[in-house]
Amino acid sequence: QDRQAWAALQREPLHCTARFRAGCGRSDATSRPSAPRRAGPGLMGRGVSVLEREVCPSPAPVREGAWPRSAAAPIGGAGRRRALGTRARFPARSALLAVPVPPPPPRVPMFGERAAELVRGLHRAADGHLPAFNEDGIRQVLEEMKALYEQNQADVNEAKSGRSDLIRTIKFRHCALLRNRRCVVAYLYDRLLRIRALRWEYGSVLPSDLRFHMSADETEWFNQYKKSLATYMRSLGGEEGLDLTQDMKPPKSLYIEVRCLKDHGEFEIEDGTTILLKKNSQHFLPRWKCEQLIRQGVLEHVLS
Amino acid sequence: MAEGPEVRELDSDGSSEELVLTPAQLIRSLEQAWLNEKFAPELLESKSEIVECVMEQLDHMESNLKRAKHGDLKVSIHRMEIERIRYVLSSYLRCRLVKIEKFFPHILEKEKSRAEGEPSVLSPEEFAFAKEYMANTETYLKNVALKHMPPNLQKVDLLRLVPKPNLDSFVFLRVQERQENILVEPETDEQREYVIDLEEGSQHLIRYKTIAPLVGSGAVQLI
Repeated sequence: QDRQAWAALQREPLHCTARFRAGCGRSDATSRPSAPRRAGPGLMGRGVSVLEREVCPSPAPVREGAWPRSAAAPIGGAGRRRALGTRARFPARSALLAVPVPPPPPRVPMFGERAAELVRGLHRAADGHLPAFNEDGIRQVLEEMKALYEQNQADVNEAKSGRSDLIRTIKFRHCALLRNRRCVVAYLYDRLLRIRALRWEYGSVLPSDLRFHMSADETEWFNQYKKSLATYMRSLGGEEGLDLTQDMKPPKSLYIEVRCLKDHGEFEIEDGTTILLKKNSQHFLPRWKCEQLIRQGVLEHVLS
Repeated sequence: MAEGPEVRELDSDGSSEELVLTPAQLIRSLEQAWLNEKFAPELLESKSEIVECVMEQLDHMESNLKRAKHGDLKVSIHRMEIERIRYVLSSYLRCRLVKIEKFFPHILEKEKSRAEGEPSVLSPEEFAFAKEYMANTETYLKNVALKHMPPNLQKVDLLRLVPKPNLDSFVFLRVQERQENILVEPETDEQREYVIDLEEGSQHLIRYKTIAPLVGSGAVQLI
């Protein structure tokens, strides 16, 4: 933005200052150089901010008398009047690049907007991936709910003593409270569903980066879920029950070709032989033995 | 096919009328239960007798294989058989678990209001799992959010918040036993409700709600 302003400045020929010098103290057009006179009466004496220069960049939108030669040097010319604050607002050319545009004042969010942002942030995370727990977001929504409720309580007391025009405001705030609660519960429940999917994909022990994304309560929920699931699977018959997290795909063949991705040590198969799983070694192993290791990332199924 | 003794199956209400099934028939009924469960939008009746019998069969086959000669061709074929049956059984139970977790308030409500003598959709172990899941989720929501909310908003009715199974979804079916006079609801305003007969062996695409009881009785098979 500053660069554009500077470029616009460069485009202006010297007649600007010439005009200034020429126009100093005089109001007749004849002493002006070639540049046409363009001054709107309303803008006389007012400065042109950098932003306005952006809006109408060509032709050079400098109004007559509006451009000070420098911030420091006082402009002579008794006949010219300008707003007192202009010098401060329109510093010299070289200082223009250093001027930051003041930020707009912070906007107060609408009711329910923070809650919607909470849900949207989760929705944006692709494909069931679990982002970090947005503790700040939840806290802000709960604070907003508290503020709304307190305002409502005060208004309800007033409404009871006669002021019935407040009822609509109370209803509106109540709607906002319900919406906030719905968003918060939806956010938390959707995260629970994603965590549940993690148990089925990764097994009992989650990778550490995922564990950091879960809050303490979520970890507690996960542990309870694991326990319930284990109890159920154990009860399915036989001595150890049936591990439902195995056999996720229909079996195509008995033995599969696998490549080892990291060192895993020794691995024993049914007929008693042990196999040393070293990185990048390939083996032809029974499928049901490998499924767990494939899911953990130790082995890789080679499809050739 | 698997060697093994004939399998006895008890009737679902516990009476001692025993239905003797060959292993082939047992596996067939497991596959039928599996397909029905996969394609039905709601949780179907629990077939825990089939599950138990199949688990017994699998154990039996495994122990047979352990005794068999190593390197025999039959061993690998039987092992494939075991794997396939185990996959079907796991898939069936997983499908049920997914539905239980998805619709847990409605299922528990239905179980609570079930009349005495009606068969349950949940096995006792599934019921315990469902109850634990509900308690776990409710405690979590309460501790993380609800107890910090204003007092009049702290109770959350899970029955209303969690969506119900969509019984109006369409399913494909094959008719096993001839049915007569099935009442079909109209789809559009111009239609009126009409009656159809289902011929044995025919295949149809119809709303699940219309034929739900037939799935339970085994008169149709979802495909």
